[in-house]
Amino acid sequence: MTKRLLVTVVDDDESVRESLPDLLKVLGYSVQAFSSAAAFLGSADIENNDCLILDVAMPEMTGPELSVELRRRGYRIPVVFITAHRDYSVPPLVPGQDAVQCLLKPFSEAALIAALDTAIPRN
Amino acid sequence: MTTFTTDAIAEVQQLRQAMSGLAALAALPAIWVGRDADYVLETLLDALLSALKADFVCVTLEGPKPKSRIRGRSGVTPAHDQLLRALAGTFGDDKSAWPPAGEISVGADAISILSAPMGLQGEVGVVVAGTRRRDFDDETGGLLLGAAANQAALALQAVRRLDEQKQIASDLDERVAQRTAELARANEALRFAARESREIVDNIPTLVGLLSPTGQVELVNRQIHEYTGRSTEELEKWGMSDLVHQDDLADALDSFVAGFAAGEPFEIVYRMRRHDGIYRWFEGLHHPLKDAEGRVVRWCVSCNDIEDRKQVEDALRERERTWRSVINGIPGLTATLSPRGMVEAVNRQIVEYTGCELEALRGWGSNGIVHPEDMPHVAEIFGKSIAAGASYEIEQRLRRFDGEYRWFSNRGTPAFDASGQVVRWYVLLVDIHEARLVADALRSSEDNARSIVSSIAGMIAVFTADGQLCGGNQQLLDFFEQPLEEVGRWATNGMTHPDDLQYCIDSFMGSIVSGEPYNYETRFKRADGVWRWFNIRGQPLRDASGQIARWYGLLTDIDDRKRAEEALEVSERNLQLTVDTIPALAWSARIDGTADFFNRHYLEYVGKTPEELGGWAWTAAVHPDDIARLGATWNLARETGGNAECEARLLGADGAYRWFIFRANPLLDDAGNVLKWYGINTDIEDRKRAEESLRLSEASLAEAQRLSSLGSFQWRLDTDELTFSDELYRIFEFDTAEPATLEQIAARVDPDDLPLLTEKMELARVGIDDHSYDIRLRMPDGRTKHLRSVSRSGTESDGRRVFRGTIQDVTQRKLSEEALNELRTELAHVSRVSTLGAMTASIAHEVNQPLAGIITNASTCLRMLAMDPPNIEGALETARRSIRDGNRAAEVITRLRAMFRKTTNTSETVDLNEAARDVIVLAGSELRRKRVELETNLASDLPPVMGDRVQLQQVILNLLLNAADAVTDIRDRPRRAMLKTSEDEDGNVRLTVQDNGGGIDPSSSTKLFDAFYTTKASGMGIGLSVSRSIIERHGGRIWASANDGPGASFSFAVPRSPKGYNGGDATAYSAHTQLRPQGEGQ
Repeated sequence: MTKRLLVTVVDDDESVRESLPDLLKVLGYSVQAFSSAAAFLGSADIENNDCLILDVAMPEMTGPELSVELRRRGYRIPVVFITAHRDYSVPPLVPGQDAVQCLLKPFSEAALIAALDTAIPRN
Repeated sequence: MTTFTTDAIAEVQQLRQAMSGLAALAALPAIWVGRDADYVLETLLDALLSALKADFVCVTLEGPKPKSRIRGRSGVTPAHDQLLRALAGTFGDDKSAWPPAGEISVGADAISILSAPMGLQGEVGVVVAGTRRRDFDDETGGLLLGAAANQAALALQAVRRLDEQKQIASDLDERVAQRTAELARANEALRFAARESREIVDNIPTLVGLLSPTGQVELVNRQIHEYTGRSTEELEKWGMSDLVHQDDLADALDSFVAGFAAGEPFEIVYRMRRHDGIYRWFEGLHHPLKDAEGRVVRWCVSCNDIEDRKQVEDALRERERTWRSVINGIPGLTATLSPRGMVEAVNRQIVEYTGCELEALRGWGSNGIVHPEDMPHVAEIFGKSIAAGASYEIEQRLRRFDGEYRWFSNRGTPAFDASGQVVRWYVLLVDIHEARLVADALRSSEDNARSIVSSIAGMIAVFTADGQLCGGNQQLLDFFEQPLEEVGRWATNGMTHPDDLQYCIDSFMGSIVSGEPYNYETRFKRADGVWRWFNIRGQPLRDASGQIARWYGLLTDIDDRKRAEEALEVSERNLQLTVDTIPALAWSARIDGTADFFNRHYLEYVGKTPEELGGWAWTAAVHPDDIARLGATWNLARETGGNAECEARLLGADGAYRWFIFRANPLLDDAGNVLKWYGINTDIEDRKRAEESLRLSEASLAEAQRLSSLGSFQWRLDTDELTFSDELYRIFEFDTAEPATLEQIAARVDPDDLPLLTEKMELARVGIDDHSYDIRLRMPDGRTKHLRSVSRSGTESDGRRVFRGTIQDVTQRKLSEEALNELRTELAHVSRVSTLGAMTASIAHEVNQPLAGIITNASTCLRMLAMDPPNIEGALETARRSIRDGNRAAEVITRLRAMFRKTTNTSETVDLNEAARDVIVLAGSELRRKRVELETNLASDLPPVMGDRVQLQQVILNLLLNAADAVTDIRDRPRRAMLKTSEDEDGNVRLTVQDNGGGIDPSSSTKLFDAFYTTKASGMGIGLSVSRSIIERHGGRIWASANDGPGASFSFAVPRSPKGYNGGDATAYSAHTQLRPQGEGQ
């Protein structure tokens, strides 16, 4: 039995926290959802995450800030940023580093699968 | 009495002794004849002492020569004065009242006393006998003593009469001797000093002559020669000349002859002719000068001029004769009384009248001769008079022999001796019965007259011919409450008013002197001090010879009339004062139009005298331009006899003309003929000026109305009568010839505004005041006029309610305002669009967020359906979420569309809280993007406002975005903004956006809302300017202020929505009306 990959969603928008985890489960992932960076940082097994889907524009701590914080703490977890702000300045994505892709809301299912596939290379 | 025999013997002895004493006493009068009182007393005492066997006897005599003698046995007789004191001390001073028997104490001795009065009333004296014996026989003794006393009294009275005669004779001898001695001395003096005497005689101020014993003229002094103007020889023949008045000559000769014959002094009274032929009365005193042998050697004659005395005497004699004749006319009854009042003698008439002899008459005190009713009065007066020795006069009734009582006047006069003792009373009884009856009748009649005089309303005063007050009625005395004598001093005692006094005295004394009646008015002081006016009329009463006997004065109280007169006088004076004081020129004119009176104001105004104005001269002061009109009016009035009124200018004393209104009214007689004209000229200069100024003011008002397109109107609520100003006619384009009507107005008003007009008019009719509203006219050619009406209610002077107001043609302004509004709306829209444009990214986020949800849910749904077996449950859930998110996106779009919509100004009820929430949703992502924390504090129960929702939201958005911009630069602290709403104390709804940014520069706070002012690097600086114009169009205001801490606050306040016409204030109403729909044609 292969272990399901764990994907965590952090977004302050409730509709995203409702809809995205359902789709990811259908796609065969284990999913966690948090409404803020702080809530995620306070959770138990961060290192078990295979991929993080972070909203960019969140109050308190933004998605990019969270990814910087995780790296500072020594985690190497691939990140997919999502944002509704077209003009929002997304930090440049560094391949090999944490961030894999940035998806603009609304994004398609295919774009999501592609971003996840990039983030978690299939064996 | 122990034994009869002894008693009987003693009694017999006593009786014998008594008889012996009585006999001795009875013999006494025989020996008293021709003896004096002392002899009588001595013999009486001896006889009584032996007859009574008393210790002593004492006799005391009363009368002109009182004396007292005592005789007694030595050893038992008390001292004389001691006895008298004891008697007086025990029995009293009145000896006549001593008891017949009694007891006194003299020293240690008790003495039994018998006493008996001498004379009927004891008037002669009293006899007292006393003894220490216990068995003093008072019965026998009293009898003896009484008899002796009576004998003695009779004897002593006889002696006294004898004494009186002797005394008179003796006095006479004494005087004669004295006179003789004097004359002898004079004779001697003459003889020894003839020469000196001659000079003295010649110079003494009387006529003196010496006659020989045969009557030859030996010497006359110079005064006789001077008086008579005759020589000694002529004087000697006086008996045959006219020296002595022929009427007196015979008497004088008789007296002369008789006097010379008698050789005693005598007097002759006669008239002696003076050198100028005038006879004067003289008293010729003739004194015989006698030698030692008593022969007359010469006669001294002194003639004293008694003319003056004679005249007085004649008058007296005349009166006396009159009196005597009256007395003589009445049968006289006379009597003489003793000094004690005992009747001594009466004349025949008394006896005849009374029918009583002397003895009976002596009992007048009790026998009814005097009327019993008069007795007490008579006894009292008589007793007092006798006791005092003063004459009396009593009117009493005396009984006639036939029993009839008649009234008598009883007069008693005492005769005195030289020592002043009463020796006898002379009584004259005069029958006054008839007179008394007449007097009674008269008195009664006089009483009547007096009662009439007393009861007449006026005061009556009676004066003597020389003006002395001698009578007055009771009213007179009552008025002054003064006795008659005091009233008589009216000229000096202050009862006549000082202001009237001289006039009174002049009037009164003038009449007294002239005999003419007097009639004057004066004030007298009443007893209570009040002055009252009197009319005084006096009339002389003349006797038969025409001489004034009395003045009768009638004093009538005219105080009330006088006061009425004074009041009238004051009233007339007031009238005069009124005419002179009324603030108008008053005048009067004769029928022919010539003036004859001008009041003080008139004279003062024109500065002329009545003479300078009289007749037609007054016309000189009339303005030349007015004289013709005034003259015509005046002439017409006089022709018709009607009132006249004309305005004309009069030249004042200051050289300036003033306008007057001349009014003249005729005074008509009963027949309607004009008697006189009275006129008043009232100064109307001020009115004229006011009229002129009003005219000018009206002209300028009309001009002003025309220039400002402002018309005015007046609307009578009761008649709907309208008054339009010229300009208002022009505004409505009505024909000025026709009065404006409400119907005309209704036809002109735009049909859309007719309900408004109707509503306003109804409000006016029910009394709701203060109307300010805009209304449109639809002119016949299709033009629209915008009018602004301001009006309010008022009250006419007659009390009718009226609406007055102004209507301004504001079409031009309205059109300008509309154009401006349009521009402002456009600007607001542009500003809004540009603001929203700046928010595109944020807004896109707001849409993309739900879109992301929709797409994700849709994908999930498809996959769930594609599963085997399909997850229907999950698919349904995701589909529902898709729909929800779709709606959410649609709402955002709707809001955006609203904000982008280009609208005209609308007015609706806006809940500012709700509007703010929408804005917050719209701006939410923008704020999030700028990482601004927005706190909201919205007041609950916030009242709604009236306005344009979108425009208000535009302002809120503008303020929010400004706040977000203000905090962008903050790095060191959270970026915060707060939006709050509240209702302020003025009832306005306020919205404030507060930030904690860099704040505002206080110096620029006023410029913040100006257009193109900006402190931001980007932006045009029109956001706040547009916001201000939006808020101001809502009747509100917008402002900025610094916070207490960091940052600034931007607020605006707009009026709350009015609750109705009564609830809103003017500002709110104004805002409301401004925002009315402006019509479809925009």
